Order: sequence, then C-alpha cells, then structure tokens
Amino acid sequence: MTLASRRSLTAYTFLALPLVFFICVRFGPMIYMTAMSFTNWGLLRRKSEFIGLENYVNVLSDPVFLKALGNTLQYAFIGAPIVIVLGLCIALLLDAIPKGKGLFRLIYVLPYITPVVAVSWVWRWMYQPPPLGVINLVLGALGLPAGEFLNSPNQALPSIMGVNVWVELGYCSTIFLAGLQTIPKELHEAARIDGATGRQVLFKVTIPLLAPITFFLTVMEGIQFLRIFTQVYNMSFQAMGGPLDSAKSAALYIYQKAFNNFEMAQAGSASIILFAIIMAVTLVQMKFLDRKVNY
Amino acid sequence: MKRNYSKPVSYVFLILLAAFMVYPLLWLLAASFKQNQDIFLDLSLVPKSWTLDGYKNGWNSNGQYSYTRFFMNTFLMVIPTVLFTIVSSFLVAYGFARFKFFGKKVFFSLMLSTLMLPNNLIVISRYLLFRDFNWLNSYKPIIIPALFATYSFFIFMIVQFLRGIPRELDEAATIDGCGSFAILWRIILPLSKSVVFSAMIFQFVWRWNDFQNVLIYIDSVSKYPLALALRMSLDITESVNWNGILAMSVLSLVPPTLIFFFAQRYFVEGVATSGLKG
Repeated sequence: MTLASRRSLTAYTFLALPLVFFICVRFGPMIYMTAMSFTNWGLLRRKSEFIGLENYVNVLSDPVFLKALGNTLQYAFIGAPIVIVLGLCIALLLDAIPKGKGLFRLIYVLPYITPVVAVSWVWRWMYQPPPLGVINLVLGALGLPAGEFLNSPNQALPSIMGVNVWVELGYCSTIFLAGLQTIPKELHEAARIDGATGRQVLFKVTIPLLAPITFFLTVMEGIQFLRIFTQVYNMSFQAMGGPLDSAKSAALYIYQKAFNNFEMAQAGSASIILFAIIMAVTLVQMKFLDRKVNY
Repeated sequence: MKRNYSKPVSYVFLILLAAFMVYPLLWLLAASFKQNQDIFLDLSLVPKSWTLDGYKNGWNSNGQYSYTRFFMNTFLMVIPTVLFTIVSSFLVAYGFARFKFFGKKVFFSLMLSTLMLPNNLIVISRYLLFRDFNWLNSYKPIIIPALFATYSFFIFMIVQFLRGIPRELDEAATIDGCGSFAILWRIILPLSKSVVFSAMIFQFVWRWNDFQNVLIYIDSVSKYPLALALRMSLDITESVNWNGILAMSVLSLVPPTLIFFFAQRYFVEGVATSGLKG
C-alpha cells in the first residue's frame, strides 16, 4: 500500500461513521419529508396515499401561511441588516477605546447568553400597558402616546423583532470586534501616511478587510431571523403568534401544523417551501458577498 | 485634534448602550428579590423590601419536582452533548483539514450545505425518525447526534482554524515517526486550545438555552430541562408566583454567564483565528 492511499484510508476512518450518521439524520429526513409532502399522511392516520401537489396547493392558499411567510421575510430583511450594521458600529467604537473593551463586551453579550424564555418574560413586562410597563412609562414621561406593542396587530411584529435585535447585537459586535483586532495596525498607519482621511480608512481599508466576517455574519443572522421561533412562541399570548397572526413566523406555523393539528404532511410541504426560500436567500447572499471575500 | 474629544463621546455612547442592554436583566435580578405584590408596581432597580421568598418558593416549583431536578436534567443533557460535539467535530475537521481523499470536495460542500439548512426545517421528519428509533422523551435526540459531528457549524469553525496551523509541523512530526493520531494528539490539539474553548462556549450556551428541540422531544415533566421548566411555571401559575419564576430565570443564566466570563479570552482568539478570518 502506498503512503498516499494509507493516508486517505486514515482520513476515511475519521470521517466514515459521522458521514453515515450525517446522511441518516440530515439528508434522510429531508428526502423522507419531501416524499411525505406529496401524500395525505398524518400522525393519526394509518394509511397514506399519493395526492400529488394537493398539500402545496392547500398550504399556499392558506392565508395564515402566506401571512407567516410575509412576517418571516420581514423579520429577516429588516432585522438582520439592522443587527449587522449596529453590530459593526459598536465594534468600531469598542475597537477605538483604550480601556474597558472586555467589560463592555461582556455586558453587550449578556442578552445573547440569557435563556430566551427569561428574555421573553422581561420584555413582555417592559411592553405592558401604561401603569405597568416601563417603556410606556418612559413614553408617558416624554409626553408621547402609549404604545400597545405586543397587543396590537401593527406593533407586535416590530416589538418581537426589536427583542431579537437586542439579543443578537452582542454576538455580532463580539465577532466583528474579534475580526477588527486581527487587522494589523500598520495598515491603518500606512493609509494615514498616504494621506487617507479617517472616513477613507474606514471604507477603503477596514470594511473591505472585514468582508469575510461580514459574509459569515450575514449568512448566520439571515438564517437566525428566517427561522425565528422561540421568541414568537414565548412572547405571544398562548403561543399563538400575536394578535391576528400578526407576528407569527413560518417556523411557528410549521410547528403548530405538525404538533398541534397533527397535519404532518402539510407541515412538511410548508417546510419545503420555507427551505426553498432560505436556500434562495443564501445563494443570493453568496453571489453578492463571495466576490468581496476573495480579496 | 479630532481624537481629543471623540473618545469621551465614544465612552458616553457605549455606556448609554450598556445601560440599555443591561437594564432588562438588572430589572430581572432586582425583581427576583422583591415581594410578589411589588414586582410590577415598583420600577426601581433596588427593591423596597428585600425577600428571598422568590428563590425559596421558586426552587420548589409546583411541589412535584424542584429545580434541583431541572438543573440536574439540564446538566445531564448539556454536558455530554458539548463533550461529544467537540470530540467528534474535531476528528472530522482534522480529516477534512489534513488529508486528501476521494470525494473530499463533495463531502465538504455537503457538510457546508447543512450549515445553511436550519435544523427546524427538518424537524418533522427528524421527529418521525427518532420516534421510530424510540428516542422520544429522552435526551438521545440531542446527545447522540453530537457523537457523530452533526453540528456542522463546529466542523466548519475548526477546519478553518486547523488550516492556519503550518503543515510543516505535521511533516516534521511524521519524519520523527508520529502517526496521524499522534500528530493530532501531540501537535495539533495543544495548539488548538482557543478554538476548542470557543466551540465549547458556543455549544454550551446554545444547548443550555435551546427551547425548540426540547419542546418537541421531551414530554414528561420529570425530564424537563430548565427552558421547559421555566415555561411550565408560566403556564400553570399564571400571575401568582412571579418572583419565583423570575428568581429561577436569574439562576438559569448563571452557568452560561460564568462559562462565558471565564473563557472569553479564548473565545476572542478562537473566533479571530478561525474561519471568520477567511
């Protein structure tokens, strides 16, 4: 046996078992679910028959699903960019101060490491109507009208999105800060000597060098917001997804279909639709951002 | 010139932001020491009258199971998951980072594609699969996949880190007669402390706070981890025992905070030197 083939054999021993399991647990279910989504299978039904695209037609003509899908896109396309931009700004500020980086970083990351259930309660209380909720007290003191927040069909979604931004912000700024600290200071100095202004250094040196991190965070945060579930579940009355489904996310819709109504096959087709959307979004992100990464 | 005043401004802004980030959590902490009737009326961060009732009553929960049980459950679920994740992901990452073999490109992109494929999209079929395995209402659906490196985020992270370790080290060790495992154990692993610790922090915090998976897989109260126990207290006690619930929320965030606090120095190094650098 040659050395090369022995080494490749060693690699297989590292990878073989995980790969088999990986395929079973990751891809198996995916294929199984795709197949299932074309049948009328349910947890309570014994027999299943092939019914073609009926599930897809049902799901896509369900106004609640369309609402949930729209909400999910709002969470992702508004929430994720806000987190990325704010996270970057905070990291830039933190990178510039001489003392206290570690302390600030720990404080900012606290919401991220706090259990979501606890986070949800605190914010439910903060969003309460006037005599109880602190946000409304502040608004009142400033002479502004009280907000209904979680109880209003117009405000429930932004309220929950805001909490998720608050949670993810610490994570984003921590990762950005770690990236900033790897950029050699000489690069900044060199640019300065060449006569670049602070703004030029920021946009022509720092931000381009952060491209790989920005790419990574955009993909991760995009997915994070596209699959938002726990906050919506815990912050809406009886886990229903806000008044008139106004804050319901697609992930919550799928969960309710599958585990409350036991309509597994329909939930399956809803997942496939959501999957297609996430895939499309990720591919677009890769197309746009990957080019910048290869610096 | 600009520098002279921009720093104080930065500090003011950062402190205001810190106040905003931490206020809800401080309120949580303060409320857990308040009398029940004061919680929603007393907005100050210093309780008017201190009490430990929240901690005493909250710990006993509904009487059937106390939080001793729920904490134990969480540790029983999280610790093996974290350890298995690190070991298995490291082995797989080593395989990807250091060996050439048939199909490597395909396997690697398959692995990456699952990074883009959120777990909760395959939640239904996974549920059915684990039901057929008879794993429901146990921690197996969480722990056993960790043994087989299914948390692909960590493979990705470690592969990128390992690529940064010079291959010359491996080659020198090979010449000295080390096999693949000896290289892994004696050369690579000691150099990988920071990435191992960062992966541990991430996985610990994520598993500790995970809600959706346990909601789906765990049914009986005796097996509830903290996330579900806290949610249950909310469902059954309505508004009666608020300081108990809040006190238990405070306790539940102690372990992840401690882990982060003590390992954050590795965390920054690990993140900065692994994939995120590109």
